[in-house]
Amino acid sequence: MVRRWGERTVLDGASFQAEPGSITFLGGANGAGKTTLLRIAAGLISPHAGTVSLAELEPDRDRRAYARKLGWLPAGNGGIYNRLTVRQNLEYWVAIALMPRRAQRGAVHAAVESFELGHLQDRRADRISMGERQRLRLAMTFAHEPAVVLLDEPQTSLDELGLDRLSEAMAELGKRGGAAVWCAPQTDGVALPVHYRYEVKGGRVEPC
Amino acid sequence: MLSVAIQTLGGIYAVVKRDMIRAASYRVALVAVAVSEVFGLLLFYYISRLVAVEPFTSPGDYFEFVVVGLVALQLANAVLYFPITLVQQELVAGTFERLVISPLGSLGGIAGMMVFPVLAALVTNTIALTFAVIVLDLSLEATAPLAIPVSVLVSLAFAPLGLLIVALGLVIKQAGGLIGFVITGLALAAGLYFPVALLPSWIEWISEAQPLTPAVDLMRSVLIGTDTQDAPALIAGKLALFAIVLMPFALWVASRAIDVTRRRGTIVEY
Repeated sequence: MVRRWGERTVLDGASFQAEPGSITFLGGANGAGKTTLLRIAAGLISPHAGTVSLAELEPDRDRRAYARKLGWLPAGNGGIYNRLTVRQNLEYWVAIALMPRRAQRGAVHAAVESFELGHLQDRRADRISMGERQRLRLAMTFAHEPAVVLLDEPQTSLDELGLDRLSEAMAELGKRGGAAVWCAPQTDGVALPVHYRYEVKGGRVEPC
Repeated sequence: MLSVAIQTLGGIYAVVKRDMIRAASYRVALVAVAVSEVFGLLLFYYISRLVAVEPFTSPGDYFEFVVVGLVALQLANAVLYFPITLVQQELVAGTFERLVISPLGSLGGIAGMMVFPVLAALVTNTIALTFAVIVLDLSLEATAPLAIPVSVLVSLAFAPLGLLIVALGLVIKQAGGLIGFVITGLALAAGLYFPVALLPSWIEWISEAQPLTPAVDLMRSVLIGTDTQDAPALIAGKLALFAIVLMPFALWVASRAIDVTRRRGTIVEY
């Protein structure tokens, strides 16, 4: 993939593949292009050259089918509705993920259980801690049972419990034949599983 | 195909429900809107006491005329102003990003965001009209309940314009000035506060080329029993035509705007 921001070429022939059942880590310095790479993979922005595909689906050509198979966690702590409760945020997400109606309740329940949100589910999202918000954001990412999850700095604000829950969710996804790709500037002190390790550097993706 | 449509409608309903929950969480917001509409009515009620010119035979005549204009303006605001405002809030909160990558997609989400403001406008308009009837001696026709389906038709006629404003807002990021220009221009051309016949003849064509003029004409007919310029069925047909002809174009422009911002990488910027 090639992607420029103005005059600056951030990605210049970057390429990688996430195998079914695998967990892939993308490292790299701040500004190396990790988020740009994941945003392109999510179909959020387009590359200037190159393609991205998920089980032969492409985000431009097969938008809805592609989106059904994808879980996306943006960096930061946004992307949730502060005035909605934890449960309402999850219900909203599985509804716009267009899950069959009869599957939605079970999906919300499973996501609540997976990320230990049971005691928080009736609390408004702006009245929980940052770590709990991150668990909610992760629960939304995994709730619709995607085949691939793209996680931009998922460890942010998570305590040991949150990291454990995320590791378990990634392992479960792998068992189902799915793949997880996560990125962070460094892995030091981050207890998340990794099968393949790459670094985004000089606009390319290199094994490390 | 049918199941896809049902799932899409389910997604759009989720967006509407979300907006209702958010609005309800701000407990005084709807009351504040209704009170402000009531103040608007009071303002024009007292202004109408000064009006004694043709074609109005009494101050009450002018008040009836302008009340319907205010109700129509509220609807126009609901379709033209609120969706882009909601989208801008979503961009700031980072929630638009999730909508874009969701199976429902940004267009479905935007369609959903256009529904709740219309429902809220129907409620506040009902409150305002009830106030005007009880306190300000406004007399409504027996056909007044027809104003609800007429309002829905009017909203559909305006929806393509609302979608075009959202599309422009996604590309240029700031559409606030544009909305003010569009709504004030429409209010002027559609004769919300005065009869269109007062406009200079060279500008009167604008009055016919946009949906607010027939909309307010039809609403006046069902609410206060004024004669319409054309037969009511013809006006309803005109409004439906605005929606049917402009909606495919507006959807095309909106999807192009999303493609352009994805290519530029600015889709989640604000």
